[in-house]
Amino acid sequence: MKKKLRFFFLAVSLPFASVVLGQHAPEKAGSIEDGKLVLKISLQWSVQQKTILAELYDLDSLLISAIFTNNLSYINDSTDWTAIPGRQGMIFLSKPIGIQTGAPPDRGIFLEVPHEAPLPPPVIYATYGANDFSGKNTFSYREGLACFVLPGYESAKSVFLSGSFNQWSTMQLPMIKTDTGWTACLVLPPGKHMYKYIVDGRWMSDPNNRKRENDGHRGHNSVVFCYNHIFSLDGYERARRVIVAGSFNGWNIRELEMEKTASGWQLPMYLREGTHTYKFIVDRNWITDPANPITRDDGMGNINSVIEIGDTHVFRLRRFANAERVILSGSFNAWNTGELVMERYEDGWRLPYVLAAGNYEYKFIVGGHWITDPANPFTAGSGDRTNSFLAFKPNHVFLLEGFEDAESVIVSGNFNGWSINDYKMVFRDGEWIFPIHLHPGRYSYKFIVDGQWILDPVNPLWENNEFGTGNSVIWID
Amino acid sequence: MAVMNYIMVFLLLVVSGIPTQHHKNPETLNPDNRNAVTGNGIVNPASDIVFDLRPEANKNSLSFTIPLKRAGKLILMEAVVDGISGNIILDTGSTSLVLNSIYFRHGRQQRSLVAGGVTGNTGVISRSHIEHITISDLLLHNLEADITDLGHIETARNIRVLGFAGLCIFRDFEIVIDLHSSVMELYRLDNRGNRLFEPRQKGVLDIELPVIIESDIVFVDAYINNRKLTFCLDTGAESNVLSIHLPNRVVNTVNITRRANLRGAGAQQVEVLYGIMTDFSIGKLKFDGMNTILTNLNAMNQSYGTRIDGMLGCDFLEKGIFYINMKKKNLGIKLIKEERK
Repeated sequence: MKKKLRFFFLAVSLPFASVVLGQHAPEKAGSIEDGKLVLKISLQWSVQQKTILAELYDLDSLLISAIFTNNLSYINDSTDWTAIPGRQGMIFLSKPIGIQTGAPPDRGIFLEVPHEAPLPPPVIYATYGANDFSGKNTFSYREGLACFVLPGYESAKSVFLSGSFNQWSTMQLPMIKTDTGWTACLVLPPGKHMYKYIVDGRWMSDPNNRKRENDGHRGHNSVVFCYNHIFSLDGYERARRVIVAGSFNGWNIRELEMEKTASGWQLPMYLREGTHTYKFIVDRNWITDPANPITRDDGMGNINSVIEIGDTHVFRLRRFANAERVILSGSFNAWNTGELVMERYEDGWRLPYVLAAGNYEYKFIVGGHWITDPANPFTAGSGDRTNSFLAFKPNHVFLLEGFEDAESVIVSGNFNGWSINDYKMVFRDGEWIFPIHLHPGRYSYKFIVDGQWILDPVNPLWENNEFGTGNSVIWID
Repeated sequence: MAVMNYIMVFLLLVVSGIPTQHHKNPETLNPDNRNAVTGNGIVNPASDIVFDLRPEANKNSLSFTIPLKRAGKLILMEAVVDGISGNIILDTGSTSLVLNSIYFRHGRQQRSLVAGGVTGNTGVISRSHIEHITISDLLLHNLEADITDLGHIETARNIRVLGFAGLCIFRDFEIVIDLHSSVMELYRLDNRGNRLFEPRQKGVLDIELPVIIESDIVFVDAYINNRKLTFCLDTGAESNVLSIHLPNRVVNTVNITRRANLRGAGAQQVEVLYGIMTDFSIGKLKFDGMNTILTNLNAMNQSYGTRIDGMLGCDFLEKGIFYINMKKKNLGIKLIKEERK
């Protein structure tokens, strides 16, 4: 009986306790009364609770400090909030909710946007990857031509291929009907791509592709890798399993199993441009690639095979012949100050280095002193923080003709945070230029000619900005 | 796309200053296109093909299936507008077709239509005549469009936005919006509002109710705490919106979670509250746990000419399949499984 009573008491008091606690939690401080937001605030709240309150209800630090020092006159006189003291160390804060400034909205599209910055372009980068198709001959990739095959669906009226490679266009890439299904071929660069089929207007992922990713809307996108490297190992026919492990996958000893062929083992893979090291594991025995003469010591006595994919940029520094050594350091190697030792070459120094397309900043370290590249006119930053700027395989060049008397011309946009220092354009053959590598997406920009912001005079695409002066717009496909 | 932690930005799209009845009745079909639907009017696949208008599928077609794309929660239809390809936002809260002046600058300027508004956009809206719009197989002719600057939506979504379209361009059809499968179906209607083509399988609706159609916008009655309220169906709003000036017993059913000042394209701001609705029903259907924002809707009411208590946005449309018949003036809802109790 006693037990029962205690249980009863507990059952009755629990909801009550939660109500009392609930009133004292900043998460539940808000309610609406007569079109006003009312916040019930306890002066006993901890620092953490105050922080939560400030974050949830967008209250500035002055207001928070006024609340918790009980400075109600400041709140009532100097803010748009009204404060009324309550019982038991409570304060009631209220304010009408609505339009703060400007004319009221007539009708708005309500967007949910992270911060106030544009969304970054969809990230479809992968360091490496291999395909996993369940059906044979449902995908092939040869000499840059990717062919997708969807068997069946003979009664469909139309099938489209839509993916990251065509901005998920639902109209651009119809598939061709064959005897056994539908097919489409297109030129694709090596790398990771995502896609779906659209069968008679309805989206579906590739039923023969086991590699897929959540599409964020309760479905899946199929994932395909257009490979740029085939790992192969001749012989070892009696081995039960051969794995390739390397720097690209954190030396994972299980993930990348090679397929048996007539004369050995192979695995077609996509590897991101750059320098990679790897080894084969043949039934638990680690071996270097016997077909690859390039190996490198990892600094701890382990010899690995080395693969370099992509194009080489040769960094050069003329003169400084008396220097003991010259180091190349940049954003491509996390500004490592010892790794890339340059070679002596004719009247100076050189270092060939394989890079992926992109923008890089770098400097040379000559006898302990950091210097910018005297042969490269393009820089980023200003003053002491100036680095040499390299756009490797640029896919866009900002151009401004004329203005030959200008002292400085800068291109500034949402790709560099509208910096007024970057990027300094260089005058060449009657025009100011700045080559750059930009990921696919939409960018807005302007030129700053001797401090004056101007639109790109030859770009017909522009949008309004908050100053009423417009920004030029480019799309990088 | 995850939208957690996102702050809402109240972006412009000021259509309201525009008179609602200005657009021509879109003559949706070209009587000359009498080719049979073969499915073979397809061109050679290549990554850079020029779009083929596929005129074979039109006047004769009694139904169209249009794949939808999503940017955030916004609903996009791919379209070619007078030769320019890009995306059109399906905006059931819009009374007209509105195109982006970044791509359509040659309209007739109308000085009276100045977009002020929260967004700080002060561009003059002009009007333009559009010859063709192609949306998948659907070909629309002879449309009037308002032209305004929508650059901020492109910036926010990093996607090429040609404009946005209200239901006015689909007046001759029953419109079926299925966000769960990212698809919209259009069924051609006769004068009485009956489908000219019935698919073999038409599922059972969870509810079918009369709605008010005004200026091609759907107004639906809903109940919060037993109080009858009028909402417009607005896919231009990613979240649902509720007027802050509703009686206390209505707004008190919303659990307030936070407050924010939303910035538009310009320097102006609008203040909103975020919350979760705990009591919302349409007819016999209860919808639990819907996200909503609360703000001042007075000005919007003036522009609609009808008092509205809130807007049902993309968050709501994700709950099921919606059948909109503007000729019969009714709305059908089929809940997706996980919403069905």
